[in-house]
Amino acid sequence: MGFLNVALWLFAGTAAPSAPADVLLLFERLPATVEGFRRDPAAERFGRDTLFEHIDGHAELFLSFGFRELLVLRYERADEAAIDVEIYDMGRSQDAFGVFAHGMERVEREAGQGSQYLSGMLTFWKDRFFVAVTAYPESEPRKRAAYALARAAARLIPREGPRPSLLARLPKPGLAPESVRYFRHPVWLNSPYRVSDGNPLGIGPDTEAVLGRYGSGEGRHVLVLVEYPDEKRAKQAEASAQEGILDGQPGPVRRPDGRFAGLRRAGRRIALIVDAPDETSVREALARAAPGGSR
Amino acid sequence: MKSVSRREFIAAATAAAAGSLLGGCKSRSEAPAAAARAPSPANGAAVVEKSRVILIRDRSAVLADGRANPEVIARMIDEAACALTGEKKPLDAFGALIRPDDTVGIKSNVWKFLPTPPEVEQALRARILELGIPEDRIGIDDRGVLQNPVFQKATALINTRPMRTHHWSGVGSLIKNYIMFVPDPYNHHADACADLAAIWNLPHVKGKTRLNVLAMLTPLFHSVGPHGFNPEYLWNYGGLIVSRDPVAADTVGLSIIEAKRKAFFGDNRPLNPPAKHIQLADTRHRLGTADPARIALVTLGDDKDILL
Repeated sequence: MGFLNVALWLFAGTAAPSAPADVLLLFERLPATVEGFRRDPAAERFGRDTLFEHIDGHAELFLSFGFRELLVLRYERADEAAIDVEIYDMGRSQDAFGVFAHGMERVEREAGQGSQYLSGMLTFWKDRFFVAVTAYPESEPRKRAAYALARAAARLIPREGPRPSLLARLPKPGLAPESVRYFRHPVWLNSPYRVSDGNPLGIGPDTEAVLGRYGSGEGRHVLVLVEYPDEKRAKQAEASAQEGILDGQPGPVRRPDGRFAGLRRAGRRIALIVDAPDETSVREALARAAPGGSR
Repeated sequence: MKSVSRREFIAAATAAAAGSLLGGCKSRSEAPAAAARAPSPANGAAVVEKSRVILIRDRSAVLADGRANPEVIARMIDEAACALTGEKKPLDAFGALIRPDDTVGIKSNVWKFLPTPPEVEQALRARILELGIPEDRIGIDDRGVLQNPVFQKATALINTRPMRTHHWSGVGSLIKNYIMFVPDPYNHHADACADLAAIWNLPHVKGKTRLNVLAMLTPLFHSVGPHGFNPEYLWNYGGLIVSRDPVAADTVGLSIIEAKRKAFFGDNRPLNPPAKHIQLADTRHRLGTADPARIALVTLGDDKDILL
């Protein structure tokens, strides 16, 4: 499929044609030179079965978010270390956000729908793509080039994609925006706080989960929201979570670390509060979370 | 895994001490070398076996450009080996770990952002050579261990790698370093790599590891980005953790990583995911101990910002 066809499909916003579209071809149009860095014509590609060859030991993160394909481009300059541009096609914008948010330390928007620059590494997400521009060790020329490349890549992506709809259900007051996470794999349940081993909430590819940290110091807590395909699954997860996280108790419980937890199910959604200072905080946070609300 | 304070480790070391002091090694908190695997007393009373762990620090081991100082590293390894074995001379210490007729595989780690420092590999290799083991019976490898003839014939293994945070297993640990001893590493990733220690029970690995050296020279205490690396989260700790017990060494290393995260971020920021494979290596697989009460920790060298 040529550039024109790819662009037409993306701009039109219609369903993908029957043959798989090579959406990464878009990025062949990245500039040949940026800040004196020249693009190496040899681009590399990695699929689900070969991602391990490029990302030693960390491919599972991407696979857990439904990774499709990776394009790697390199920019070189005689007096500087090379810059790598990695463009991950995650298939869905929600999963691109999920991968991006996994490493979110601060909230910026210098490129795409959300970005972060951290000591020589610039990451952003837009639509179904997660992009990482790595320019280690940090230098002023490499930093300028990293921003220029990220913005150029973002411009090539013709539209923005939806964020996970469940994010809208995280109450805004007190929420630390950089703590927000989205996931469809149980391993990420423990992101801000060790909730449990195993998978007591029954999180899987067909569930959506978000979480966020609220407050600070002793008054802090974490809210986890999970949406299931149907109420039956949610009920099963409620029972399992009560056993696995709340020690079989119906109400807020004090956990071995002295912090409190509780959960509430409404329809096909569950709200879980962990790392709260006391029972009252759990009850109030669950009331605010309103997992069955109409939003 | 529960965070472990230095007090808990030191309490364990003190409890284990029975009067014997180490010769030739400067130590601050000491426990007898024999405590690593204490035999049962004659009266048959149960004893708590303690795993001996040596933490040695010297921040001059890391040069300004980030590389390791070979002379300092060699000295640190010698002192740690003495402290571990109770021997006064480094060669005797290595002689207590490796036999002259051994074929020795040094399991390293080649992760491009933070590999096992070559200076550590070479210091270990130099001492093994001095034991009289010929070059062709010493191998250093990571990805190729299953195909490496030295590792295929190895009677003794030395396990060395840096500790770093890891997207899927919490930390890259000594336990995890043996994942290359299976042909299908991806099949050992379930439940955040919970059962990595099972690899240590495979016939070509089991019982061969004589020494573990966890490099804590510039550990990585936080992972961000697609490769899980950003130099912002390295720091010069200048340490090596040395033990016969990989679980105990990893437990000490993990405590340091967790303490650094708390100091840096200003709050309890748990590893994501938790490094539960270390605890389970003890409670499920009985590879070693992750219980601070059963770890006899000896600290040598620089005490500043020790984070324990």
